Amino acid sequence: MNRIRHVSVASVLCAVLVFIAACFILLAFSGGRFDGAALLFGLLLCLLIIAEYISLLWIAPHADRILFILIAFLTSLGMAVQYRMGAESALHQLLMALIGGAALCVAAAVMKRPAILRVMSIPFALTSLLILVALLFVGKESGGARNWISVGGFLFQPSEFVKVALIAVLAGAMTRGLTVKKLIPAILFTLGVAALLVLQRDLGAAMLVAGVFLILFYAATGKLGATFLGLAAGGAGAYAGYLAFDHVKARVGAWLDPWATYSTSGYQIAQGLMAIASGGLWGEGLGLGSPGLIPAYRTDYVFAVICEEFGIVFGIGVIAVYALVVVRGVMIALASEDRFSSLCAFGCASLVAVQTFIIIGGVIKLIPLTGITMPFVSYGGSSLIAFMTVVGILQGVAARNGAELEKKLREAAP
Amino acid sequence: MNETAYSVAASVMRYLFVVLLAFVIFGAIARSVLEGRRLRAARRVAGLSIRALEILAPERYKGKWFPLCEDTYIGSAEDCDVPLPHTDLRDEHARIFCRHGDAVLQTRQRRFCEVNGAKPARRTALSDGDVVWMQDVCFACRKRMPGAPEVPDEQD
Repeated sequence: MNRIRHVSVASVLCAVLVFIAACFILLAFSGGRFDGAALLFGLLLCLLIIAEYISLLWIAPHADRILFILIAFLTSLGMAVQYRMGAESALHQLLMALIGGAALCVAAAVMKRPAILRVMSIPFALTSLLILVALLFVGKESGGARNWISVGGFLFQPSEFVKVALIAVLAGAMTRGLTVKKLIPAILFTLGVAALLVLQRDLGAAMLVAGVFLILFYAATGKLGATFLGLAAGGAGAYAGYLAFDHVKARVGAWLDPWATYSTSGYQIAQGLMAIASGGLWGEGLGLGSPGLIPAYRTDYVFAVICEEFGIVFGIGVIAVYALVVVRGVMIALASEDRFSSLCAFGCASLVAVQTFIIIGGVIKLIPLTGITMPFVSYGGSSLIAFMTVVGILQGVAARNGAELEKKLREAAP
Repeated sequence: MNETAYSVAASVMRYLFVVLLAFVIFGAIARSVLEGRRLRAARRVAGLSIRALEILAPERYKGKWFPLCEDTYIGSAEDCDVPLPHTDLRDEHARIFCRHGDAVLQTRQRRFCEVNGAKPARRTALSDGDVVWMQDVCFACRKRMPGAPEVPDEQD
Protein backbone atom coordinates (compact mmCIF):
# COMPACT_ATOMS: atom_id res chain seq x y z
CA MET A 1 0.00 0.00 0.00
CA ASN A 2 1.71 3.20 -1.12
CA ARG A 3 -1.21 5.43 -2.06
CA ILE A 4 -4.60 6.41 -0.71
CA ARG A 5 -7.62 5.08 -2.56
CA HIS A 6 -10.48 7.56 -2.21
CA VAL A 7 -14.03 6.25 -2.34
CA SER A 8 -16.03 6.83 -5.50
CA VAL A 9 -18.74 9.43 -5.03
CA ALA A 10 -19.98 9.44 -8.63
CA SER A 11 -23.40 8.00 -7.74
CA VAL A 12 -24.01 10.63 -5.03
CA LEU A 13 -22.90 13.39 -7.40
CA CYS A 14 -25.31 11.98 -10.01
CA ALA A 15 -28.12 12.11 -7.41
CA VAL A 16 -27.39 15.82 -6.88
CA LEU A 17 -27.44 16.42 -10.65
CA VAL A 18 -30.74 14.49 -10.94
CA PHE A 19 -32.14 16.64 -8.11
CA ILE A 20 -31.17 19.80 -10.02
CA ALA A 21 -32.67 18.43 -13.26
CA ALA A 22 -35.92 17.44 -11.50
CA CYS A 23 -36.27 20.85 -9.83
CA PHE A 24 -35.66 22.89 -12.97
CA ILE A 25 -37.74 20.67 -15.29
CA LEU A 26 -40.62 21.16 -12.85
CA LEU A 27 -39.98 24.91 -12.58
CA ALA A 28 -39.92 25.18 -16.39
CA PHE A 29 -43.63 24.34 -16.38
CA SER A 30 -44.69 26.43 -13.37
CA GLY A 31 -47.08 29.36 -13.80
CA GLY A 32 -49.02 27.68 -16.62
CA ARG A 33 -46.42 28.40 -19.31
CA PHE A 34 -43.19 26.85 -20.55
CA ASP A 35 -40.05 28.63 -19.30
CA GLY A 36 -37.02 27.51 -21.32
CA ALA A 37 -34.76 29.75 -19.21
CA ALA A 38 -35.33 27.43 -16.24
CA LEU A 39 -33.90 24.48 -18.18
CA LEU A 40 -30.94 26.58 -19.29
CA PHE A 41 -30.41 27.72 -15.69
CA GLY A 42 -30.47 24.11 -14.44
CA LEU A 43 -27.98 23.09 -17.14
CA LEU A 44 -25.65 25.96 -16.24
CA LEU A 45 -25.85 24.99 -12.56
CA CYS A 46 -24.95 21.36 -13.37
CA LEU A 47 -22.01 22.50 -15.52
CA LEU A 48 -20.83 24.85 -12.77
CA ILE A 49 -20.86 22.05 -10.18
CA ILE A 50 -19.00 19.66 -12.48
CA ALA A 51 -16.44 22.36 -13.40
CA GLU A 52 -15.88 23.24 -9.74
CA TYR A 53 -15.49 19.55 -8.85
CA ILE A 54 -12.90 18.98 -11.57
CA SER A 55 -11.04 22.21 -10.72
CA LEU A 56 -10.95 21.34 -7.03
CA LEU A 57 -9.57 17.84 -7.64
CA TRP A 58 -7.00 19.30 -10.04
CA ILE A 59 -5.82 21.82 -7.44
CA ALA A 60 -6.16 19.50 -4.45
CA PRO A 61 -6.21 15.81 -5.46
CA HIS A 62 -6.89 14.67 -1.88
CA ALA A 63 -9.76 17.13 -1.33
CA ASP A 64 -12.81 15.82 0.54
CA ARG A 65 -15.14 14.71 -2.26
CA ILE A 66 -18.04 13.92 0.07
CA LEU A 67 -17.92 17.39 1.61
CA PHE A 68 -17.94 18.97 -1.85
CA ILE A 69 -21.03 17.01 -2.87
CA LEU A 70 -22.91 17.95 0.30
CA ILE A 71 -22.12 21.62 -0.34
CA ALA A 72 -23.13 21.23 -3.99
CA PHE A 73 -26.48 19.84 -2.84
CA LEU A 74 -27.13 22.73 -0.45
CA THR A 75 -26.12 25.31 -3.07
CA SER A 76 -28.36 23.64 -5.69
CA LEU A 77 -31.29 23.62 -3.29
CA GLY A 78 -30.72 27.32 -2.65
CA MET A 79 -30.62 28.01 -6.40
CA ALA A 80 -33.84 26.08 -7.03
CA VAL A 81 -35.65 27.94 -4.23
CA GLN A 82 -34.27 31.30 -5.41
CA TYR A 83 -35.30 30.57 -9.02
CA ARG A 84 -38.78 29.63 -7.87
CA MET A 85 -39.03 33.07 -6.21
CA GLY A 86 -37.55 35.05 -9.10
CA ALA A 87 -35.26 34.25 -12.03
CA GLU A 88 -33.33 37.51 -11.74
CA SER A 89 -32.21 36.93 -8.13
CA ALA A 90 -31.34 33.33 -8.98
CA LEU A 91 -29.13 34.48 -11.85
CA HIS A 92 -27.35 36.85 -9.47
CA GLN A 93 -26.89 33.96 -7.04
CA LEU A 94 -25.50 31.75 -9.83
CA LEU A 95 -22.94 34.43 -10.65
CA MET A 96 -22.02 34.60 -6.97
CA ALA A 97 -21.70 30.79 -6.91
CA LEU A 98 -19.24 31.08 -9.81
CA ILE A 99 -17.16 33.63 -7.86
CA GLY A 100 -17.60 31.49 -4.73
CA GLY A 101 -16.28 28.47 -6.64
CA ALA A 102 -13.18 30.44 -7.59
CA ALA A 103 -12.80 31.55 -3.94
CA LEU A 104 -13.11 27.90 -2.86
CA CYS A 105 -10.30 26.83 -5.21
CA VAL A 106 -8.06 29.75 -4.18
CA ALA A 107 -8.64 29.02 -0.46
CA ALA A 108 -7.91 25.31 -1.02
CA ALA A 109 -4.67 26.18 -2.83
CA VAL A 110 -3.64 28.62 -0.08
CA MET A 111 -4.36 26.12 2.69
CA LYS A 112 -1.98 23.61 1.14
CA ARG A 113 0.65 26.00 2.59
CA PRO A 114 -1.04 27.12 5.83
CA ALA A 115 1.92 29.36 6.75
CA ILE A 116 0.59 31.90 4.21
CA LEU A 117 -2.74 32.22 6.02
CA ARG A 118 -0.98 32.23 9.38
CA VAL A 119 1.20 35.16 8.36
CA MET A 120 -1.83 36.95 6.93
CA SER A 121 -3.84 36.59 10.15
CA ILE A 122 -2.54 39.85 11.69
CA PRO A 123 -3.28 41.99 8.59
CA PHE A 124 -6.70 40.26 8.46
CA ALA A 125 -7.37 41.23 12.08
CA LEU A 126 -6.47 44.89 11.51
CA THR A 127 -8.44 45.09 8.24
CA SER A 128 -11.50 43.46 9.84
CA LEU A 129 -11.53 45.97 12.70
CA LEU A 130 -10.98 48.89 10.31
CA ILE A 131 -13.85 47.80 8.06
CA LEU A 132 -16.22 47.28 10.98
CA VAL A 133 -15.36 50.73 12.39
CA ALA A 134 -15.82 52.30 8.94
CA LEU A 135 -19.26 50.64 8.65
CA LEU A 136 -20.43 52.64 11.68
CA PHE A 137 -19.95 55.81 9.62
CA VAL A 138 -20.44 54.83 5.97
CA GLY A 139 -22.48 51.63 6.28
CA LYS A 140 -25.90 51.35 4.70
CA GLU A 141 -28.82 50.10 6.75
CA SER A 142 -30.80 47.09 5.60
CA GLY A 143 -33.12 44.85 7.63
CA GLY A 144 -32.42 46.89 10.78
CA ALA A 145 -28.64 46.33 10.66
CA ARG A 146 -26.12 48.91 9.49
CA ASN A 147 -23.72 46.37 7.98
CA TRP A 148 -23.81 46.93 4.22
CA ILE A 149 -21.28 48.79 2.15
CA SER A 150 -21.46 49.89 -1.47
CA VAL A 151 -18.38 49.56 -3.67
CA GLY A 152 -18.70 50.48 -7.34
CA GLY A 153 -22.45 50.06 -7.26
CA PHE A 154 -22.23 46.59 -5.67
CA LEU A 155 -23.61 46.11 -2.18
CA PHE A 156 -21.82 43.66 0.04
CA GLN A 157 -21.74 42.68 3.67
CA PRO A 158 -18.20 42.85 5.12
CA SER A 159 -19.22 41.06 8.35
CA GLU A 160 -19.48 37.83 6.31
CA PHE A 161 -15.78 38.07 5.42
CA VAL A 162 -14.88 39.14 8.96
CA LYS A 163 -16.14 35.72 10.11
CA VAL A 164 -13.60 34.01 7.85
CA ALA A 165 -10.83 36.35 9.02
CA LEU A 166 -11.84 35.65 12.61
CA ILE A 167 -11.13 31.95 12.16
CA ALA A 168 -7.63 32.63 10.80
CA VAL A 169 -6.91 35.17 13.56
CA LEU A 170 -8.11 32.92 16.40
CA ALA A 171 -6.38 29.83 15.00
CA GLY A 172 -3.15 31.83 14.60
CA ALA A 173 -3.33 33.20 18.15
CA MET A 174 -4.18 29.80 19.67
CA THR A 175 -1.29 28.18 17.78
CA ARG A 176 1.23 30.66 19.19
CA GLY A 177 0.41 29.66 22.76
CA LEU A 178 -2.36 29.01 25.24
CA THR A 179 -1.22 31.09 28.20
CA VAL A 180 -3.55 33.90 29.27
CA LYS A 181 -0.94 36.46 28.15
CA LYS A 182 -0.78 35.00 24.66
CA LEU A 183 -4.56 34.66 24.37
CA ILE A 184 -5.32 38.26 25.39
CA PRO A 185 -4.97 39.67 21.82
CA ALA A 186 -7.39 37.00 20.50
CA ILE A 187 -9.88 37.68 23.33
CA LEU A 188 -9.65 41.45 22.78
CA PHE A 189 -10.07 41.01 19.01
CA THR A 190 -13.17 38.84 19.51
CA LEU A 191 -14.65 41.29 22.02
CA GLY A 192 -13.90 44.20 19.68
CA VAL A 193 -15.53 42.49 16.67
CA ALA A 194 -18.57 41.42 18.73
CA ALA A 195 -18.98 44.93 20.17
CA LEU A 196 -18.75 46.57 16.73
CA LEU A 197 -21.31 44.10 15.35
CA VAL A 198 -23.67 44.87 18.25
CA LEU A 199 -23.28 48.60 17.53
CA GLN A 200 -24.27 47.89 13.93
CA ARG A 201 -27.27 46.00 15.31
CA ASP A 202 -26.00 42.81 13.63
CA LEU A 203 -26.82 40.70 16.67
CA GLY A 204 -26.80 37.37 14.86
CA ALA A 205 -23.22 37.89 13.68
CA ALA A 206 -22.14 39.01 17.18
CA MET A 207 -23.66 35.86 18.68
CA LEU A 208 -21.93 33.79 16.00
CA VAL A 209 -18.52 35.36 16.67
CA ALA A 210 -18.87 34.66 20.42
CA GLY A 211 -20.00 31.08 19.76
CA VAL A 212 -17.14 30.30 17.38
CA PHE A 213 -14.60 31.80 19.80
CA LEU A 214 -15.85 29.65 22.68
CA ILE A 215 -15.86 26.45 20.61
CA LEU A 216 -12.35 27.13 19.29
CA PHE A 217 -11.14 28.04 22.77
CA TYR A 218 -12.44 24.74 24.14
CA ALA A 219 -10.97 22.79 21.21
CA ALA A 220 -7.55 24.40 21.69
CA THR A 221 -7.32 24.34 25.50
CA GLY A 222 -9.72 21.63 26.64
CA LYS A 223 -10.60 23.85 29.62
CA LEU A 224 -14.29 23.23 30.23
CA GLY A 225 -14.51 25.50 33.29
CA ALA A 226 -13.05 28.52 31.48
CA THR A 227 -15.33 27.82 28.49
CA PHE A 228 -18.41 27.81 30.73
CA LEU A 229 -17.14 31.02 32.32
CA GLY A 230 -16.97 32.54 28.82
CA LEU A 231 -20.44 31.21 28.08
CA ALA A 232 -21.75 32.81 31.27
CA ALA A 233 -20.06 36.10 30.33
CA GLY A 234 -21.68 35.87 26.87
CA GLY A 235 -25.06 35.23 28.50
CA ALA A 236 -24.57 38.23 30.77
CA GLY A 237 -23.65 40.33 27.73
CA ALA A 238 -26.77 39.17 25.91
CA TYR A 239 -28.90 40.06 28.94
CA ALA A 240 -27.26 43.50 29.12
CA GLY A 241 -28.08 43.92 25.41
CA TYR A 242 -31.68 42.94 26.15
CA LEU A 243 -31.91 45.61 28.84
CA ALA A 244 -30.08 48.27 26.81
CA PHE A 245 -31.65 47.97 23.34
CA ASP A 246 -35.35 48.26 22.56
CA HIS A 247 -35.10 46.23 19.34
CA VAL A 248 -33.62 43.30 21.28
CA LYS A 249 -36.54 43.50 23.74
CA ALA A 250 -38.98 43.53 20.82
CA ARG A 251 -37.33 40.44 19.26
CA VAL A 252 -37.35 38.50 22.51
CA GLY A 253 -40.99 39.52 23.08
CA ALA A 254 -41.88 38.34 19.56
CA TRP A 255 -40.07 35.07 20.19
CA LEU A 256 -41.85 34.41 23.49
CA ASP A 257 -45.31 35.08 22.05
CA PRO A 258 -45.42 35.90 18.34
CA TRP A 259 -49.23 35.70 18.28
CA ALA A 260 -49.57 38.53 20.82
CA THR A 261 -47.55 40.84 18.56
CA TYR A 262 -48.77 39.31 15.27
CA SER A 263 -49.51 42.68 13.66
CA THR A 264 -46.05 44.10 14.49
CA SER A 265 -42.81 42.37 15.51
CA GLY A 266 -44.30 38.88 15.75
CA TYR A 267 -45.57 38.84 12.16
CA GLN A 268 -42.43 37.32 10.64
CA ILE A 269 -42.11 34.49 13.16
CA ALA A 270 -45.85 33.72 13.00
CA GLN A 271 -45.85 33.67 9.19
CA GLY A 272 -42.79 31.42 9.17
CA LEU A 273 -44.39 28.96 11.58
CA MET A 274 -47.61 28.96 9.56
CA ALA A 275 -45.65 28.29 6.37
CA ILE A 276 -43.86 25.33 7.99
CA ALA A 277 -47.18 23.99 9.32
CA SER A 278 -48.98 24.42 6.00
CA GLY A 279 -46.29 22.39 4.24
CA GLY A 280 -46.94 19.39 6.48
CA LEU A 281 -44.75 16.31 6.32
CA TRP A 282 -44.33 16.17 2.54
CA GLY A 283 -44.76 19.83 1.51
CA GLU A 284 -47.13 21.53 -0.88
CA GLY A 285 -44.94 20.95 -3.90
CA LEU A 286 -42.27 23.09 -5.54
CA GLY A 287 -43.89 26.28 -6.82
CA LEU A 288 -47.18 25.70 -4.99
CA GLY A 289 -46.49 27.48 -1.70
CA SER A 290 -46.90 31.15 -0.83
CA PRO A 291 -43.42 32.28 0.20
CA GLY A 292 -44.22 35.92 -0.57
CA LEU A 293 -46.28 36.08 2.61
CA ILE A 294 -43.17 35.66 4.80
CA PRO A 295 -40.93 38.71 5.26
CA ALA A 296 -37.27 38.05 4.26
CA TYR A 297 -38.29 34.82 2.51
CA ARG A 298 -35.21 34.88 0.26
CA THR A 299 -32.67 35.29 3.08
CA ASP A 300 -33.40 34.62 6.76
CA TYR A 301 -36.61 32.65 6.21
CA VAL A 302 -35.56 30.45 3.33
CA PHE A 303 -35.78 27.40 5.62
CA ALA A 304 -39.50 28.10 6.17
CA VAL A 305 -39.95 28.27 2.37
CA ILE A 306 -38.14 24.92 1.99
CA CYS A 307 -40.36 23.32 4.66
CA GLU A 308 -43.50 24.76 3.07
CA GLU A 309 -42.76 23.53 -0.46
CA PHE A 310 -40.62 20.42 0.16
CA GLY A 311 -42.06 19.36 3.53
CA ILE A 312 -40.82 18.92 7.08
CA VAL A 313 -39.29 15.51 6.26
CA PHE A 314 -37.16 17.18 3.61
CA GLY A 315 -36.36 20.03 6.05
CA ILE A 316 -35.08 17.50 8.60
CA GLY A 317 -33.01 15.96 5.79
CA VAL A 318 -31.49 19.38 5.06
CA ILE A 319 -30.51 19.70 8.73
CA ALA A 320 -28.93 16.22 8.44
CA VAL A 321 -26.90 17.43 5.45
CA TYR A 322 -25.61 20.35 7.54
CA ALA A 323 -24.78 17.92 10.34
CA LEU A 324 -22.79 15.79 7.88
CA VAL A 325 -20.93 18.88 6.63
CA VAL A 326 -19.96 19.68 10.22
CA VAL A 327 -18.94 16.07 10.94
CA ARG A 328 -16.74 16.00 7.80
CA GLY A 329 -15.19 19.30 8.90
CA VAL A 330 -14.42 17.97 12.38
CA MET A 331 -12.96 14.78 10.88
CA ILE A 332 -10.66 16.88 8.67
CA ALA A 333 -9.61 18.91 11.72
CA LEU A 334 -8.88 15.78 13.77
CA ALA A 335 -6.82 14.21 10.97
CA SER A 336 -4.56 17.24 10.63
CA GLU A 337 -1.14 17.06 12.27
CA ASP A 338 -0.54 20.80 11.88
CA ARG A 339 -2.07 22.66 14.82
CA PHE A 340 -2.91 25.84 12.88
CA SER A 341 -4.61 23.89 10.06
CA SER A 342 -6.47 21.77 12.56
CA LEU A 343 -7.80 24.81 14.44
CA CYS A 344 -8.72 26.52 11.14
CA ALA A 345 -10.69 23.46 10.04
CA PHE A 346 -12.36 23.19 13.44
CA GLY A 347 -13.22 26.89 13.31
CA CYS A 348 -14.75 26.48 9.84
CA ALA A 349 -16.85 23.51 10.96
CA SER A 350 -18.02 25.36 14.07
CA LEU A 351 -18.86 28.46 12.00
CA VAL A 352 -21.18 26.42 9.77
CA ALA A 353 -22.66 24.63 12.79
CA VAL A 354 -23.31 27.76 14.88
CA GLN A 355 -24.69 29.82 11.99
CA THR A 356 -27.02 27.00 10.90
CA PHE A 357 -28.19 26.51 14.49
CA ILE A 358 -28.84 30.23 14.99
CA ILE A 359 -30.87 30.69 11.82
CA ILE A 360 -32.81 27.41 11.79
CA GLY A 361 -33.33 27.68 15.55
CA GLY A 362 -34.69 31.19 15.01
CA VAL A 363 -37.02 30.13 12.20
CA ILE A 364 -38.52 27.23 14.14
CA LYS A 365 -38.81 29.40 17.29
CA LEU A 366 -36.26 27.44 19.30
CA ILE A 367 -34.24 30.60 20.05
CA PRO A 368 -34.92 34.33 19.42
CA LEU A 369 -34.58 35.16 15.73
CA THR A 370 -31.51 37.10 14.59
CA GLY A 371 -30.98 38.11 11.00
CA ILE A 372 -28.27 35.93 9.52
CA THR A 373 -28.21 33.80 6.42
CA MET A 374 -28.67 30.06 6.08
CA PRO A 375 -25.24 28.92 4.81
CA PHE A 376 -25.09 28.10 1.06
CA VAL A 377 -28.88 28.33 0.66
CA SER A 378 -29.97 31.90 1.46
CA TYR A 379 -29.88 34.64 -1.13
CA GLY A 380 -26.78 36.80 -0.71
CA GLY A 381 -23.51 36.97 -2.59
CA SER A 382 -21.32 37.94 0.39
CA SER A 383 -22.58 35.02 2.45
CA LEU A 384 -22.21 32.50 -0.37
CA ILE A 385 -18.68 33.62 -1.28
CA ALA A 386 -17.62 33.70 2.39
CA PHE A 387 -18.94 30.19 3.04
CA MET A 388 -17.38 28.87 -0.17
CA THR A 389 -14.07 30.26 1.16
CA VAL A 390 -14.71 28.42 4.43
CA VAL A 391 -15.24 25.18 2.48
CA GLY A 392 -12.07 25.96 0.49
CA ILE A 393 -10.12 26.16 3.77
CA LEU A 394 -11.55 22.78 4.82
CA GLN A 395 -10.70 21.28 1.42
CA GLY A 396 -7.16 22.65 1.59
CA VAL A 397 -6.61 21.10 5.01
CA ALA A 398 -8.08 17.78 3.79
CA ALA A 399 -5.79 17.87 0.74
CA ARG A 400 -2.75 18.52 2.91
CA ASN A 401 -3.71 15.68 5.28
CA GLY A 402 -4.01 13.28 2.34
CA ALA A 403 -0.75 14.43 0.73
CA GLU A 404 1.17 14.01 4.01
CA LEU A 405 -0.23 10.53 4.60
CA GLU A 406 0.58 9.48 1.05
CA LYS A 407 4.10 10.85 1.43
CA LYS A 408 4.57 8.66 4.52
CA LEU A 409 3.28 5.63 2.65
CA ARG A 410 5.60 6.27 -0.30
CA GLU A 411 8.65 6.89 1.89
CA ALA A 412 8.85 3.19 2.68
CA ALA A 413 7.32 1.63 -0.42
CA PRO A 414 7.78 3.86 -3.47
CA MET B 1 -48.87 22.29 -18.91
CA ASN B 2 -52.02 23.65 -17.25
CA GLU B 3 -52.07 24.45 -13.54
CA THR B 4 -53.88 21.25 -12.49
CA ALA B 5 -51.36 19.10 -14.32
CA TYR B 6 -48.53 21.11 -12.76
CA SER B 7 -50.03 20.60 -9.27
CA VAL B 8 -50.17 16.84 -9.85
CA ALA B 9 -46.59 16.78 -11.17
CA ALA B 10 -45.30 18.93 -8.25
CA SER B 11 -47.13 16.72 -5.73
CA VAL B 12 -45.58 13.57 -7.18
CA MET B 13 -42.12 15.15 -7.39
CA ARG B 14 -42.19 15.90 -3.63
CA TYR B 15 -41.56 12.22 -2.98
CA LEU B 16 -38.79 12.07 -5.58
CA PHE B 17 -37.05 14.98 -3.86
CA VAL B 18 -37.21 13.21 -0.50
CA VAL B 19 -35.87 9.99 -2.06
CA LEU B 20 -33.00 11.88 -3.72
CA LEU B 21 -32.16 13.68 -0.48
CA ALA B 22 -32.23 10.37 1.42
CA PHE B 23 -29.89 8.89 -1.22
CA VAL B 24 -27.48 11.83 -0.84
CA ILE B 25 -27.53 11.56 2.98
CA PHE B 26 -27.16 7.79 3.23
CA GLY B 27 -24.72 7.69 0.31
CA ALA B 28 -22.57 10.32 2.04
CA ILE B 29 -22.74 8.45 5.37
CA ALA B 30 -21.81 5.11 3.76
CA ARG B 31 -18.93 6.66 1.84
CA SER B 32 -17.76 8.57 4.93
CA VAL B 33 -17.57 5.31 6.88
CA LEU B 34 -15.74 3.54 4.03
CA GLU B 35 -13.31 6.42 3.49
CA GLY B 36 -12.70 6.62 7.25
CA ARG B 37 -11.81 2.90 7.29
CA ARG B 38 -9.45 3.28 4.34
CA LEU B 39 -7.72 6.30 5.83
CA ARG B 40 -7.34 4.59 9.21
CA ALA B 41 -5.88 1.55 7.45
CA ALA B 42 -3.47 3.77 5.51
CA ARG B 43 -2.45 5.52 8.75
CA ARG B 44 -1.86 2.16 10.43
CA VAL B 45 0.33 1.02 7.54
CA ALA B 46 2.23 4.33 7.48
CA GLY B 47 2.99 3.93 11.19
CA LEU B 48 4.32 0.35 10.93
CA SER B 49 7.86 -0.46 12.03
CA ILE B 50 8.33 -2.75 9.01
CA ARG B 51 6.94 -2.05 5.56
CA ALA B 52 8.36 -4.77 3.28
CA LEU B 53 9.37 -8.42 3.08
CA GLU B 54 12.50 -9.63 1.28
CA ILE B 55 12.36 -13.27 0.21
CA LEU B 56 15.58 -15.14 1.04
CA ALA B 57 14.53 -18.71 0.13
CA PRO B 58 13.65 -20.76 -1.89
CA GLU B 59 16.06 -19.95 -4.68
CA ARG B 60 13.37 -19.28 -7.31
CA TYR B 61 11.95 -16.36 -5.28
CA LYS B 62 15.20 -15.12 -3.74
CA GLY B 63 15.62 -11.34 -4.02
CA LYS B 64 11.92 -10.63 -4.52
CA TRP B 65 10.39 -7.83 -2.43
CA PHE B 66 6.79 -7.35 -1.36
CA PRO B 67 5.31 -4.26 0.34
CA LEU B 68 3.10 -4.82 3.38
CA CYS B 69 -0.49 -3.70 3.37
CA GLU B 70 -2.87 -3.50 6.32
CA ASP B 71 -3.60 -7.22 6.14
CA THR B 72 -0.95 -9.10 4.14
CA TYR B 73 -1.64 -12.75 3.27
CA ILE B 74 1.31 -15.03 2.51
CA GLY B 75 0.71 -18.35 0.77
CA SER B 76 0.93 -20.43 -2.36
CA ALA B 77 -2.34 -19.10 -3.81
CA GLU B 78 -1.98 -16.66 -6.71
CA ASP B 79 -4.35 -14.14 -5.11
CA CYS B 80 -2.29 -13.76 -1.91
CA ASP B 81 -0.56 -10.43 -1.26
CA VAL B 82 2.70 -12.38 -1.14
CA PRO B 83 2.07 -15.20 -3.66
CA LEU B 84 4.67 -17.97 -3.53
CA PRO B 85 3.31 -20.81 -5.73
CA HIS B 86 5.10 -24.17 -5.95
CA THR B 87 6.32 -23.96 -2.36
CA ASP B 88 5.27 -26.08 0.61
CA LEU B 89 3.07 -23.29 1.95
CA ARG B 90 -0.69 -23.65 2.15
CA ASP B 91 -2.94 -21.44 0.00
CA GLU B 92 -3.21 -18.82 2.73
CA HIS B 93 -0.49 -19.96 5.05
CA ALA B 94 0.10 -16.89 7.21
CA ARG B 95 -0.92 -13.30 7.57
CA ILE B 96 0.79 -10.19 8.79
CA PHE B 97 -1.57 -7.58 10.17
CA CYS B 98 -1.30 -4.22 11.95
CA ARG B 99 -1.96 -4.01 15.67
CA HIS B 100 -1.08 -1.01 17.85
CA GLY B 101 1.59 0.11 15.37
CA ASP B 102 3.20 -3.36 15.15
CA ALA B 103 3.23 -5.78 12.25
CA VAL B 104 2.03 -9.05 13.79
CA LEU B 105 2.63 -12.49 12.26
CA GLN B 106 -0.06 -15.12 12.60
CA THR B 107 0.57 -18.50 11.01
CA ARG B 108 -1.59 -21.59 10.63
CA GLN B 109 1.23 -24.08 11.17
CA ARG B 110 3.49 -23.03 14.00
CA ARG B 111 5.21 -26.42 13.98
CA PHE B 112 7.18 -25.54 10.86
CA CYS B 113 7.67 -21.86 11.62
CA GLU B 114 10.62 -20.04 13.15
CA VAL B 115 11.22 -16.37 13.85
CA ASN B 116 14.94 -15.65 14.34
CA GLY B 117 15.51 -19.34 14.98
CA ALA B 118 12.87 -19.69 17.73
CA LYS B 119 9.35 -21.04 17.69
CA PRO B 120 6.99 -18.07 17.58
CA ALA B 121 3.98 -17.40 19.80
CA ARG B 122 0.51 -17.61 18.26
CA ARG B 123 0.84 -13.95 17.37
CA THR B 124 4.34 -12.53 17.10
CA ALA B 125 5.22 -8.87 16.58
CA LEU B 126 7.86 -8.50 13.88
CA SER B 127 10.56 -5.89 13.69
CA ASP B 128 13.16 -4.71 11.18
CA GLY B 129 15.70 -7.41 10.39
CA ASP B 130 13.69 -10.36 11.76
CA VAL B 131 14.14 -13.53 9.70
CA VAL B 132 11.14 -15.82 9.39
CA TRP B 133 11.17 -19.43 8.19
CA MET B 134 7.90 -21.06 7.16
CA GLN B 135 8.24 -24.55 5.61
CA ASP B 136 10.74 -24.05 2.77
CA VAL B 137 10.20 -20.29 2.58
CA CYS B 138 12.39 -17.76 4.33
CA PHE B 139 11.91 -14.00 4.36
CA ALA B 140 13.39 -11.01 6.14
CA CYS B 141 11.40 -8.08 7.50
CA ARG B 142 12.55 -4.72 6.19
CA LYS B 143 11.81 -1.14 7.17
CA ARG B 144 11.49 0.01 3.56
CA MET B 145 11.54 -1.24 0.01
CA PRO B 146 14.77 -0.95 -2.02
CA GLY B 147 14.95 2.48 -3.65
CA ALA B 148 13.03 4.19 -0.86
CA PRO B 149 14.83 7.24 0.54
CA GLU B 150 16.63 6.85 3.86
CA VAL B 151 14.59 8.74 6.43
CA PRO B 152 16.21 9.11 9.86
CA ASP B 153 14.17 7.80 12.78
CA GLU B 154 12.58 10.43 15.00
CA GLN B 155 14.45 9.10 18.04
CA ASP B 156 17.82 9.43 16.23
